Amino acid sequence: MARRATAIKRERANGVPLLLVDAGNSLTGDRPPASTTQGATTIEYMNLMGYDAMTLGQADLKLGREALAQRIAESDFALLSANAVFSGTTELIVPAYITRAMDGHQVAIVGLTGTWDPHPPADFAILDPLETVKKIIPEVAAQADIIIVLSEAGNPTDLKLVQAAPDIDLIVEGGQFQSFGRSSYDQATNTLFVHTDYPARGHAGRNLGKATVDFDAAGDIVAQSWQLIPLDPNMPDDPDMAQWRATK
Amino acid sequence: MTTHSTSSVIARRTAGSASRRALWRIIAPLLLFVVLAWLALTVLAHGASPLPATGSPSVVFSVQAGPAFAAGLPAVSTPFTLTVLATNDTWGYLDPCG
Repeated sequence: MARRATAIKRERANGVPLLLVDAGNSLTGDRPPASTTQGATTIEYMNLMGYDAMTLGQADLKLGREALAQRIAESDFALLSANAVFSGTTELIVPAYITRAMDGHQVAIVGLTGTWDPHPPADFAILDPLETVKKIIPEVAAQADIIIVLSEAGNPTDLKLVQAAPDIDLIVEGGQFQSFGRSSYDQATNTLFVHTDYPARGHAGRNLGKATVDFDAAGDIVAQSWQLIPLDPNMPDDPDMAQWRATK
Repeated sequence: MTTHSTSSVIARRTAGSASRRALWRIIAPLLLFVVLAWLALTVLAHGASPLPATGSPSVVFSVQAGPAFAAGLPAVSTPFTLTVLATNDTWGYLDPCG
């Protein structure tokens, strides 16, 4: 985490337009202090690192209604999901998307929660991701020329999403293991897929993914590169974050 | 009779053609003068050439905003490079694992 902060600061020092995002299942897990604080420490350090947005994964929803409401209230960044609703309703728990003006473009970030977990959270229901993007992406496309989806649905579903909604430019993936550590590109829809880490306990936080994407004036991808930045001992700790870490 | 009539027609046409040419000799300079005078008056009135030069920055094109622009898209966009730093499934771990 302190190494991640170093890598993020280095990238920000380049002064280029940058978004820092998370594709879900990052608030809490099997280890303290995240597990004992119900994700409060995670929100703290994500605030300190300056995250822009995160999608709610199914593991995040298992915090339950009360704790999740507290985490949402504490976060300085956008927690998103276009298909996570309160049980028995169609009311979204958090906003479906945000838009941000960047260098003359409107960039939209959409959150999408997966449905693969056989033990879904009790307080919430998750609507079908495919049907959700069919409805939400045309609405988003009317407001933004670049569309980024943070998807916890997993790569097999993500591949179907872009067929249903080809306006999606970039999918930041999580949730399932099929595509971790690499990027792929759908030539037919001009969509880039990137997936940083293996999504399992005991494998978390090993890398920071870096996608560098060139867009033309219309907001279509014309070039891209993908890099996994290893957060191994060669990456020094950020002093500020290491100090914060020592208090936990 | 036929030959005479034909000669007469030819003679009349030749005479007509000559008179039209004479008329144009008078009208053409007048038309040229009128056009030049209009151009000169326009330049005096506006202080610049009324003909837009190619690439002239003073020429502004009016673009009709479509529905997408009306809904909030910027009217002017340029190519740009975006860096996206991404994490997933970090489980709230404070230290990298494994």
